[in-house]
Amino acid sequence: MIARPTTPQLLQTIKAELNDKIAPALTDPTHIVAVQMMSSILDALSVRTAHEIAWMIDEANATETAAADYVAAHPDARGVAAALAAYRSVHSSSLHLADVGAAYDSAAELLSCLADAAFSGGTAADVRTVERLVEQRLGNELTIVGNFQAVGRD
Amino acid sequence: MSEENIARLSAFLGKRNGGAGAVTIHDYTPITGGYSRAMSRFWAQDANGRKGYVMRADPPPGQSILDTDRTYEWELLSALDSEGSVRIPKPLWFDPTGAELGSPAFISENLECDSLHMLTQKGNVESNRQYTRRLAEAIASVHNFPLDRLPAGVRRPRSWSDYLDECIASWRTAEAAHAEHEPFLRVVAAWLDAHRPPETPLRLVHGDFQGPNVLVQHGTGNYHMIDWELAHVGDPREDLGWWVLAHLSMPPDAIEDDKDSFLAHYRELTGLSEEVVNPATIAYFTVQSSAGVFFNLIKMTSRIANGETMGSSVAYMTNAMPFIHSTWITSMRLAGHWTKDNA
Repeated sequence: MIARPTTPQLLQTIKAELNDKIAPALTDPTHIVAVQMMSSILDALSVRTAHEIAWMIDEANATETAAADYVAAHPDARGVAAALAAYRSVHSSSLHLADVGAAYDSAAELLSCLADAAFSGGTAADVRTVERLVEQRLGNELTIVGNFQAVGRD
Repeated sequence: MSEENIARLSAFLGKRNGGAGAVTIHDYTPITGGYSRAMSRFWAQDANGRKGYVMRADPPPGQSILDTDRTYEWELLSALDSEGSVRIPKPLWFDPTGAELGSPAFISENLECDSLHMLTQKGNVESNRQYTRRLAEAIASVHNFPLDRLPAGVRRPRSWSDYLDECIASWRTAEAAHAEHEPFLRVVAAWLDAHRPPETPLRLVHGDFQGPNVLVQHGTGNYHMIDWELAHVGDPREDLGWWVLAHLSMPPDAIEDDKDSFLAHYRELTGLSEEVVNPATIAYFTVQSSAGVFFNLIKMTSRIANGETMGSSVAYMTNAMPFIHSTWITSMRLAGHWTKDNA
């Protein structure tokens, strides 16, 4: 396959042409805003394509570890245990996006179950573990989109 | 706008101008300020002269970030206009089915005005203080609106606690509409449930209180509220919380820069106490008030994931979602119920 130029480089090339050649020719304000939105989406995709496989695996692994610790400390936490088993049944060594995405989706449900348990019956340390996992996920999301400023609002 | 739609608009107005003859449309211009409805401004000429109007229509299916009901909004606007205590551009005519205008749409008077957001963008922290008092009066007029004057279609929750229970439950059920599991939703639900603020009387809530939706009329300086599609009966602090979230992505925030003065005047006008309305409770409702918009965002972006739409404005909302997530965490910290430093 062709690996160079990279996917982010190709996306940035499209963005440059969109902004430098197409946008200046537009007069309809709705089309101008649409191009601004597309440009912003292309920026986010450049970052996302470069890192998404690694970040999804990192986040899922961290959630699995935290959930396993929680189940070990709270043997009656059946919801978390069931979600953990479901995650492990989906998780595989495949690095194809669809497979990593499926495992990541299952890890997201596992995190939700862990949050439900921690906020309703967990310790302060359990809540803090959930907070850290949420912040890890948020940190990657924000790295992808950067500083969001709504376009076309006045 | 296509010639066919201009002809529809001419015919629509021609049936409603009291026999003033044929109507010609001039200077039809789309308004790009909102992401949900197709807004436009135009001038209509007939035997009575030339007048400006604003049309608010449903966009083509799949192109909006929100699915809302024009009939609901029209009936609410009509009730507000009839009662008179909340200033809005006068609602004039409605096509509920789109049979005449091509899609459900209503037409209001065109005000000579600037949005408050545009004015504050031109100003600075000091000069923007001139708007705080009038802004408090504008939103207090909404929150003081008599609920018995609302149309029957506006639902009245039985009590504040019932209302908040429903709100919190909606965070848990919203996930089902999403194309993927979304852990933030259940984290927020658990957090909202664990840290409920003091109770307050239910009021009319605008639902999208932000600078672009406050029009300052030239000459009179009166503040007119627009975009009522998300209005409902709920907790008035939702509007104050939503304002915060809206202006984080759209600075400047005219309230934040003069918050004490705004809150003092707002409390005086609404009779709500400082225990009820303060920065911590507003932070709680910055989280809660985003439910309506966020649930629509995940519903609409899921349509892309499911291959049901290709709209770029909907795709763009995937960039807004992390920003909203971030605002939730920041607000939970401001409310005093999220660890300040988890590093």
